[in-house]
Amino acid sequence: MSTHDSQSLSLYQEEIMEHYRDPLHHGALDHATIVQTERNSSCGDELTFYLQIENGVVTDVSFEGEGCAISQATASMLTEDLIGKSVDTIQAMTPDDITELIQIPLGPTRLKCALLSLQAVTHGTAEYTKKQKES
Amino acid sequence: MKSSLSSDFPMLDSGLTYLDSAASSLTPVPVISAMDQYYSTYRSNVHRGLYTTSETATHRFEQARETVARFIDASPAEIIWTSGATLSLNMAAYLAAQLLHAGDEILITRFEHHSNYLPWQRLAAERGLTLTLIDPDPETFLINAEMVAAAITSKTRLIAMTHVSNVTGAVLPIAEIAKLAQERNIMTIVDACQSVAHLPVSFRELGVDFFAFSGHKMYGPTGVGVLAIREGLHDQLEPWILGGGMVDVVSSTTSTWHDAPSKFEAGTPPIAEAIGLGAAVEWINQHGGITKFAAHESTLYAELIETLQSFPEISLVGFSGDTRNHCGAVSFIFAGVHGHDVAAILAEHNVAARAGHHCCQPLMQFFHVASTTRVSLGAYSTSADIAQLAKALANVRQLQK
Ligand SMILES: Cc1ncc(COP(=O)(O)O)c(C=O)c1O
Repeated sequence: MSTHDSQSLSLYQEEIMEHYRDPLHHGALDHATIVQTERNSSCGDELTFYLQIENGVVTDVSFEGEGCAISQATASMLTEDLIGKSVDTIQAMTPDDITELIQIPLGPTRLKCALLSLQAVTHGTAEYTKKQKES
Repeated sequence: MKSSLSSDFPMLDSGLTYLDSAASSLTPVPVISAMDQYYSTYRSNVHRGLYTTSETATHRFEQARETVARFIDASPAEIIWTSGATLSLNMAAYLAAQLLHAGDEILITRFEHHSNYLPWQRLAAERGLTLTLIDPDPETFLINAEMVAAAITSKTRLIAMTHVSNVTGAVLPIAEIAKLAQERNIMTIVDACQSVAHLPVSFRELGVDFFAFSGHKMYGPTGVGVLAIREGLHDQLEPWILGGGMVDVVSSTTSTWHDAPSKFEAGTPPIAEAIGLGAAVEWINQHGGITKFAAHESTLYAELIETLQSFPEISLVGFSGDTRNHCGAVSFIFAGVHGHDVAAILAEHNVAARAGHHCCQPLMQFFHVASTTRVSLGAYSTSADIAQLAKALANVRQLQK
């Protein structure tokens, strides 16, 4: 692959490309405690996150869906980050946590692609907590 | 090679390859100056003051209406200023609805932008009308007059259609369709957003009832558009928006309206923007007119198609196989690469293009795609822009899995 100056500023840096080409924890998870799908209506992308929760902590995670390199790579990077985290911690995650995780400067349009994963896990855990309280 | 027009477009100074004119065209300096001149030397409201600047503002504003009327071959009274095509089309739906009855059928095409789709969808639901979609031919991806004729039923009272698809650039034979419609006493509404700056048009010769477009896609400013309404309809229609500037006499219980265009233009209009749009038309005329732009763009369009087709990874979406059926815009899919990533790589090479559903979800469903990447041309586009696009597209390959 050729490298020249403009590409050193590219969004598509080595790490992003690796996660995009070969995502971690990709596919459905049997017996998941939380299954949450989110859509980005502007591009039609769809991501589903599967979380397995034991004693309020994520013990396993996976994702599947269609999307651009940024949304897929972010989802892959996030899966690694989530294991061992508590439901409460995940529910409180913010866009800043995502930009810190992926370490690339995104404009507002592409930020939406990256935040689709965050939406899936925060919405999924919030829903889970609500149900726990009700039962 | 730069375009001879490029010196009029400060936006191009940085070497930007702008291939998104279907979303919005760039603005030439004379248009910006005309609006600046209004704001700095005769800034006043129109139609109200007896002092000089208000009279100048009124004069220039009405001159702009005449200029735009001549440009589309309509009478000045037929030109209604709006904030843009979206308002024009919503207004057209409201006005046309006055002449429809429960059980009537509205025909629209699969090509429609959401702004010429949703107003009809809601109207049909609210008023008990039938809404029927005309699909493009599955092989040519075009809609011809025979297809429209075949779709017309005894209930059809209105046909709303785009002149040129903002996704595929497909051109519809509006004059032929309007003739069919007239013979059957069916109203016609045309979304001319993607045609007025790219094809010579005559509102009179097309023979349609309503004709909508935006200023910002024809080298004018944002915030202004036009709804042309055929003169013969003016007396049959009640205005949609009520307020200042449109009334003849207001009494406690009833009011009477001015004649068109004022009747349909309540409130302070987009004065600077209308003047800017008039200046845009003058700029077009000074540079040879739309006939010349169309010739230039059709040569480039063929070049663009050839360039895209030279990439085995690229499939064109909705291309008929003959560039003569298209103008302005073309959509494509790059195998294995999401449209956002294509557009982002293009952006990294200073090429402005667009990825998404282009506000045409029904058409995306027809093509079974979630989104496409679209490139589109303007009068200032050049072969160098297409060469830069090709260079950038070669770099998209790095994203293939
Ligand atoms: C075919 C078509 N119709 C309508 C519109 C709406 O125009 P505006 O957003 O200027 O109101 C557009 C612009 O995106 C268009 O391409």
